[in-house]
Amino acid sequence: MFDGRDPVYLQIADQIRQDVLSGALEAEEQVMSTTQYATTFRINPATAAKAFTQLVDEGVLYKRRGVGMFVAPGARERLLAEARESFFADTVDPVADAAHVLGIDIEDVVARLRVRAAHPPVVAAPVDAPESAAGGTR
Amino acid sequence: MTTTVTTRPSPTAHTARRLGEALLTMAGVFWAIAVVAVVIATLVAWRVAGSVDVSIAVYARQAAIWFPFSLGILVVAAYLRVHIASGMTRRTFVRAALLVEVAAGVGYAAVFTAVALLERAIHDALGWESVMTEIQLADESTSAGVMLLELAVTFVVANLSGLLVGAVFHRYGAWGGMLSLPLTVGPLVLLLYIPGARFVDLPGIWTTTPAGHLALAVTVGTVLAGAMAAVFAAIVLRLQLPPAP
Amino acid sequence: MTAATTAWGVELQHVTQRYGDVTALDDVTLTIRAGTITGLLGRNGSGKSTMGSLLAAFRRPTAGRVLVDGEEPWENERVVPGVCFVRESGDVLDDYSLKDNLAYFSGARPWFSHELAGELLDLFELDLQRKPSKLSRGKKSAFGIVVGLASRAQLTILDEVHLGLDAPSRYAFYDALLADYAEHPRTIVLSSHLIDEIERLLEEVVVLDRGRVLVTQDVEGLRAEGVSVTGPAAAVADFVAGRDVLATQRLGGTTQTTVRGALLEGDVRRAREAGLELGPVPLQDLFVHLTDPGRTGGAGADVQGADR
Repeated sequence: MFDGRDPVYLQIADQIRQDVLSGALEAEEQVMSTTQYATTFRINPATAAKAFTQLVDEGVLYKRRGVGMFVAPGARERLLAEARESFFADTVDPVADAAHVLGIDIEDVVARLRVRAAHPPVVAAPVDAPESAAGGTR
Repeated sequence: MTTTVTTRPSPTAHTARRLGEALLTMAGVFWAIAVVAVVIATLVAWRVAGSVDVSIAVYARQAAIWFPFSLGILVVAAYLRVHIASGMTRRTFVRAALLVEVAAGVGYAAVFTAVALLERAIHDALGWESVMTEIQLADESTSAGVMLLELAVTFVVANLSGLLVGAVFHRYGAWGGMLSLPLTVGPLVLLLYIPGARFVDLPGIWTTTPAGHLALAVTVGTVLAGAMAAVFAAIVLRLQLPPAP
Repeated sequence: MTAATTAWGVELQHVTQRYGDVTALDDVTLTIRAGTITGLLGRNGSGKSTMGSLLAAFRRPTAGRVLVDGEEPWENERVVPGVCFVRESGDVLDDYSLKDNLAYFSGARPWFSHELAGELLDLFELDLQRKPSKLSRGKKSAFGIVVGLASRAQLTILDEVHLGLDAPSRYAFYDALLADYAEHPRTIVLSSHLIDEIERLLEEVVVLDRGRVLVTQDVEGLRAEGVSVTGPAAAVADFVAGRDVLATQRLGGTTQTTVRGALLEGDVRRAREAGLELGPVPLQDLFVHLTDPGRTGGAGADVQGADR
């Protein structure tokens, strides 16, 4: 776990952001303590603390003194908004640029996107989908 | 998160207790053997000679000097390094060691005196004499107090000599330790033979009476004890532990 | 004795330690941040054990000042009980049982935990009745760990305490170390050649080489400074020009060069455009490169290390 090439604290922060986005971690839910991170993944607790500090600065987590770190209300929405922002800049723009370079008509790209959206491959439920009554996690 | 703190004894007390327990165990073994040996020797002599007119117990004197002496060396060899490594100062080791060894010297003297007096009482009851053939101040008529005092000084010097030898070996290694033995053990040997002065004509009025001899022995012994303690402390307080083997 | 609530930091100021004509530490100045787990890395003879000896007041430095929690530890009644230096040889009472040894140490260490000692004894399967002189290498090391951790000293220095322990036992040690450190924060200095294993336990690292300080840095920062650049020889050479090159490997037309130095955003783009692959460098490799005699050979010819 956390064997990637980025510094461990960045990997931990990424993992928590993903969990918040996917709903695995809900608002006001408590995150594992630095001690738990340390003993579970055999890392220095300061490393987890560093990840928490970054996430607190971003508004994803907040600290309840004497209790622990919790997911901030609205964190998911915030992360979604950021992901959406960067989606256009990081994913959509390069597509438009590439289409232009290759001389592909942008309307063909749009048509293709529409077809795809109508018949999506089997993937995880879209992030926006309302939580089913029976499927509430934790 | 709280850190529970154990109330701990002072390092000097902790060490003194530890060393004291070790020496006490050894003393128990020593005196048990000594008493048994004296009893057996007495019985054998009785069988052979018909009566025992000498004090057998007094022969234990040499053993009671050199056995604790060797324990003094062991105390330093076994404990000093671990004492320092356990987060205690050299100062507390010096205090504890000196305290315990002086107490041990006095303790041995007390037991020895008791054994000698007991033997004397038994001999008296059996109509025997209790001539003391060892060169020392006490003789068959000596009071318990004189015997105790003279023995205490001798045994304390022996113990401190052991500590000193142990410290010298620790600091200067085997060669240094051996070459300096005349200095570290010499004084003890000297002290043992001061009582012999009464058989020789020495100048000065203080050597002609038993009280004078006793005073001389006690004075020399006390000075030697003080000097040895000082040198022992000086060596240990500056001692740097050698790098791990 | 009051509980210590602030962790103890370490400072060495121009410390030199000589044994006869061998210089083990040469004008070393460094700081170890209070409350961190700091790795003390160095090849044999680099001066690591000497540093431990000085911190624990086993010896006094030939020159310079050693400060633990702001004071020199030598014969310092306040500081010395809070420094626990566990070294390979084991400074225990060889002819007494482990039980007696623990009774001795617990009386000397103000923060000693019998509970933790018991847990660790079970963990390493140590028999209280046995004597250290009768233990195997691994069990001796394990006992050293028990003493080192259970003492809960504010400055705990563990010098190659893993020797003789098999991998599962080592990992059990790391877990126990982290768990107790998290519950009872203190300053821990960990010295080991198994850098791969301890890398993630460390917050900061000090690298000594032949008595001199090579690196004092946080682990993440040091790791970030190591980059391996792989690709066509010419492109790699072009990219690494002017950088601190640690090592180069060639296989056919492909070169992999390890460099030290932070990469800027522009550099990453440049590399991608040149068809180069950038990768991380494990701390172990960084250490090997940094302490390569060929690289550091410039240090004074008569400065020799001694693993003291």
